[in-house]
Amino acid sequence: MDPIISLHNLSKFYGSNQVLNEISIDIFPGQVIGYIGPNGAGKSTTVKILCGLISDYTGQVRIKGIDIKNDPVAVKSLIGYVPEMAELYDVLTPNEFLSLMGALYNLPARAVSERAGRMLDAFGLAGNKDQRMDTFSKGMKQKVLITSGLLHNPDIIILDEPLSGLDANSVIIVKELISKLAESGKTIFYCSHMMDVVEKVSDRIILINEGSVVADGSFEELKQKQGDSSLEQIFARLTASESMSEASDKLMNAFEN
Amino acid sequence: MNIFDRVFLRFFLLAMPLFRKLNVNPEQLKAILVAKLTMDNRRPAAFAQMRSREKKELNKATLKTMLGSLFMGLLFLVSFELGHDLVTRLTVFFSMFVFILAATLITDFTSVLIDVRDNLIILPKPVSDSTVVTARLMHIAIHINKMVLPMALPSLIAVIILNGIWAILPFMLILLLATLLSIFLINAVYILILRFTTPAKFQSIISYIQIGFAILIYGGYQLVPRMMENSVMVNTRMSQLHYIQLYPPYWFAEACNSLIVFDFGERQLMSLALSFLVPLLSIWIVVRYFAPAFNRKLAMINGSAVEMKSPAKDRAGLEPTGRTRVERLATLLTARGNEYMGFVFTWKMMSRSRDFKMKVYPAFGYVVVLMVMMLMNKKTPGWAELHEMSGSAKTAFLFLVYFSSFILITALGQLNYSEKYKAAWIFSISPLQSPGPVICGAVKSVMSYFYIPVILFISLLGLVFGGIKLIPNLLLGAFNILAISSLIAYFTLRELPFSVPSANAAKSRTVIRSMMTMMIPAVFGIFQWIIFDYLWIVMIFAVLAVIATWMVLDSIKNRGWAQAGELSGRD
Repeated sequence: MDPIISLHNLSKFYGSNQVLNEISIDIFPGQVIGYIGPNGAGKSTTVKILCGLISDYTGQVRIKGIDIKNDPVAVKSLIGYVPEMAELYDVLTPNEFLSLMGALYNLPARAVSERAGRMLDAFGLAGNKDQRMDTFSKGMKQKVLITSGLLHNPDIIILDEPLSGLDANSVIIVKELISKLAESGKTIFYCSHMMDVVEKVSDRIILINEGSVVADGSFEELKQKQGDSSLEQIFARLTASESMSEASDKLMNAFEN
Repeated sequence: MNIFDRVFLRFFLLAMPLFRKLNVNPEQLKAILVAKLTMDNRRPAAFAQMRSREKKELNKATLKTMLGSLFMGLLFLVSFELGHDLVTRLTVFFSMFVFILAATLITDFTSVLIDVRDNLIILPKPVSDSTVVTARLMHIAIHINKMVLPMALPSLIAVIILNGIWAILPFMLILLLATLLSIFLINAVYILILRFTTPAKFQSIISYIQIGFAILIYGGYQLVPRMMENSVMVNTRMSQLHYIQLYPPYWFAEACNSLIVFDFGERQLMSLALSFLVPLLSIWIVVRYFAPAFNRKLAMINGSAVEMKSPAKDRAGLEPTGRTRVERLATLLTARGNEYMGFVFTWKMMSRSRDFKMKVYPAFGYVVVLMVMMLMNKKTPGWAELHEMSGSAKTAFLFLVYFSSFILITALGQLNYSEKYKAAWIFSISPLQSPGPVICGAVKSVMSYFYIPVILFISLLGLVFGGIKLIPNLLLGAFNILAISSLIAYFTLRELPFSVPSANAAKSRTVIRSMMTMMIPAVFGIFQWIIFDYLWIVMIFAVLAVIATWMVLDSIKNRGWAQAGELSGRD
């Protein structure tokens, strides 16, 4: 089977600062990838390159065999991107915003409004479809964002901290949505800091630190290899430079005098 | 979207078949434009109660813009005073038109052309770069039309009166082409700048260009009427000037003229060809070929948080006591605690906030222009006059002292506003007993930053030319200004600095208001002019001014939460 996403020797520099260091990953259709790493490790950069937002990199990035540098427009229609803490044109209403999104994906207007309507209803936003989004809570905006990323029924879905701001019920809805999407054959690339969610949702976990991949495998495989019982501990072992309790001791000691 | 937007959108979409050739997707284009135009007419609602106002389609802002443009259009009529033939007059008109249009594009529409939010919302979608760039250009064009038509109206009427009703068609047509050329020019300038600098520096450069243009326009308005009086200008024929063939406004003027009078000589045909081809061809080139690179660079403007930023300059040369210059100044001028904090905080925000600088620095330019004009106007004072400080030297000196306060007053006016106003939550949750000391420290900071250097410079000049006996008047002038500014601050600064959304500061209101506020120093200036030579009286008043300043600043310091505005309602 051919990989649906293929990164080969991907490197990226910001000035003299190397953010991505020869990353090579092959992702196959139907996999749910949990992409984790400390802040500044290069997660957002990888995601932005995959979505075609950054084109100044070395190495190859192929989506369904198409090199993203050759035909970015074709690649973008295959991907659904739900960014974290995104800017929304929040003077618009969800309907107006989603009709813009739909048109940008070349979807016919009626299909868009039907689909958007159903998805917003499912998220409990039926009564808010024509209200300006600047009155929305963070969770409500996040739901609209998720809808906008899935509207065109993409085969590849990239989610960056999709659960931030959602209440417990919505978190359950989205987690189950992700599993069902995966069951239907979609490939999901999921960035998050919430280790317990990543443990349960992903079938493959890729841990990146300082621009390089330091772990790649299912949760079971990683547990065996590292001998730890939770993803949180595996993460700490592979990325932290000093022990966490040392750090918290230092914090407490700051209060002296 | 209001009715004007709809009409213009329809008009521009007539070019649909052309779009596919340019690699532009018409449906996507339409969707983006509809969304953007809808957004433009909706200002962010600060309070829920404002909801009812949304329904009005033609909001006040549009009408204000149109009236302002009409006014500017009236000023363009001066071009009809110059020269005797239509070509000359039109050349001047089109020159002014293109210049004002370019200036407006740079100041008002930079945020449209380079909307950073698009990076996350539109760019990840399967939209070609050409579509994005075309959408932006058309968005600007549609907006510009709201300005262009009123601006051109007075001159259009003048042309009709002079040349008959059929002059409308050529005039409007050439006007359209001139507009397109201006849009393309600005776009080209931006692309060029992006080619040679990083996206981060780009924004600073644009800000400085904006400031420069604001000053140039102001200077232009002052200088041009004076140039009109110069009789040489009145009698020129543009067509006789040597390199005029290379000057685009001339092409437009010739083309317009030739269509009105049906004169199709060789020169006229050239101009016609250039007027049509250059704008259209350049837009084609930009959309087709430069779009991808342009978009790519723009996408990077908000991207790189990882770029190394140099650490804040003032910590760099730390003295052994660990205090920077600002901190020592603050210790000198303010009480410990909140007032000190207000001083230092405001100083750093002012020196680093591009937002703030953009709104205040043009004031420097205005003052410089006024100085230049003053010098050109009256006869330059002779050395004797300077030494005695009498006559025009006295006027010049007082003018300098009082007018430089314009900068201070503008800065005070902007003190409350900031794009990051939400960050003021820190003041709400901390046990701040009263906002008075903070505001007082902020006012002192503004005064130190903007006025003290200026007054020291003027004092130096004054002492060099006028000698020691100028000191009482210097003191009186300086402290009058400080007293007036403190009073203005007392009445208008009811919020903590940088805590109010800048959308609330209506731009036009500030300009007119600051003009009117300038009346107050002017009155004091006149008063000082009268008592100038009576040094004892001057000294007494100077002392009074010092006391007044001190008292007003003190009352600001003692303001409690009740007197200051409501802070908690703002989330």
